[in-house]
Amino acid sequence: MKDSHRFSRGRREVLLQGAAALAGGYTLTRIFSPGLAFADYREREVKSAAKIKGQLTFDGPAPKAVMRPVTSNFDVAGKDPRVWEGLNLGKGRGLKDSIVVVNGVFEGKPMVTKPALTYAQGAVILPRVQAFAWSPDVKLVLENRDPILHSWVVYFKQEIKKNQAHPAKSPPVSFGIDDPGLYELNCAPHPWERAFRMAVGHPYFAMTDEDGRFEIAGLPAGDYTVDLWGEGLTPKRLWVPVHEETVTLDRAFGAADLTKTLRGQ
Amino acid sequence: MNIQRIHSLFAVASLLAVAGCSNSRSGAPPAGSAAASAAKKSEGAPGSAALPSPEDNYVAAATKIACLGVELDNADAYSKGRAKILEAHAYTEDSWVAASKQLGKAKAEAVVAAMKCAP
Repeated sequence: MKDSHRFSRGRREVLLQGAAALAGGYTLTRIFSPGLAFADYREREVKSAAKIKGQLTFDGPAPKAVMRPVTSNFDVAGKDPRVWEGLNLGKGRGLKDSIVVVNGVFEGKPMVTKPALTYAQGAVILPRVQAFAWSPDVKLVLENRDPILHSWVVYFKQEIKKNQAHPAKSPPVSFGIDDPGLYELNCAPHPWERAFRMAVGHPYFAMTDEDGRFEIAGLPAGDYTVDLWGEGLTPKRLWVPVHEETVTLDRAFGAADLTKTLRGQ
Repeated sequence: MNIQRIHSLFAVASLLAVAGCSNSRSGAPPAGSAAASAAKKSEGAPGSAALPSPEDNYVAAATKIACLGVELDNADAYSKGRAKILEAHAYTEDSWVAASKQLGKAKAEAVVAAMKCAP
């Protein structure tokens, strides 16, 4: 019974992928799976809480972004090509909208979860990158704010988890997130649309600001790995012992850290 | 005469074989061999036992703990696994924290290079 279920699920996914490809094409991303599967995160008072703060930067010349042409719905999308994959360079050499996740935290400060809002506007999926606290009841809410049809394609670990048409002026679509980790959102009829969602099973994560700075507070003292994810970069996992009130974690990425796509390979 | 010689040679060979056998059973290399002299040297040299250096021991334990924190999905399994790793590397909770405070930053790159749970 189990096997036949798996088989039919596999076939369904192949069909979904085929449908998505026919509808407009898609690209599977390199999948990043940080250690986020904390199904039993427990809240407790953190005595002598510590903080990790730092800055993510990029040294060296900025790589040329990979662009995709706009091929339809010009009245809404315009005609300018869109960034498919590029570095999120902010002020100075800061890497903005990058995600920092602490692994191996099973208990600590309270976790606030809320639906993660995503919307299509101007044939762009917004926000481009978002991280949110995940629990099994958290949903991804997708809005279509355009006067055209969108069709959401959601990938997780190289599998299509959702493929749903979303006509103009129709209500938001909700998508249950079964697992924490990195999700990629595409739109089947608009192959230039792309966004990323990181679902984290605890509250110890941060997104970098315009300068590439971040801060994660209220952390119990201990030894952790910290994952760094940024668009256009190969993910990094660092060993970070936290035995002081404040631990500084600055990381400069370079050309060798770029994805193969941005290195032109 | 020839038969006597053969007998005596056989007897010597048997004795040697028995001696060799008993040596191999005891795990000691044959006397006078290079291994025996190396073993003798190591017995005499203080601190040359097979224990790793404090730095290597820290990196080895941290490498395992790092991946434990990534791969496990609940606190109990994590703390049990961590306790086993600390014990295997001859750390108490206090000595581990002390080692981590002392070596954690300096050996962070080595831990990352050794861990088998890269993203």
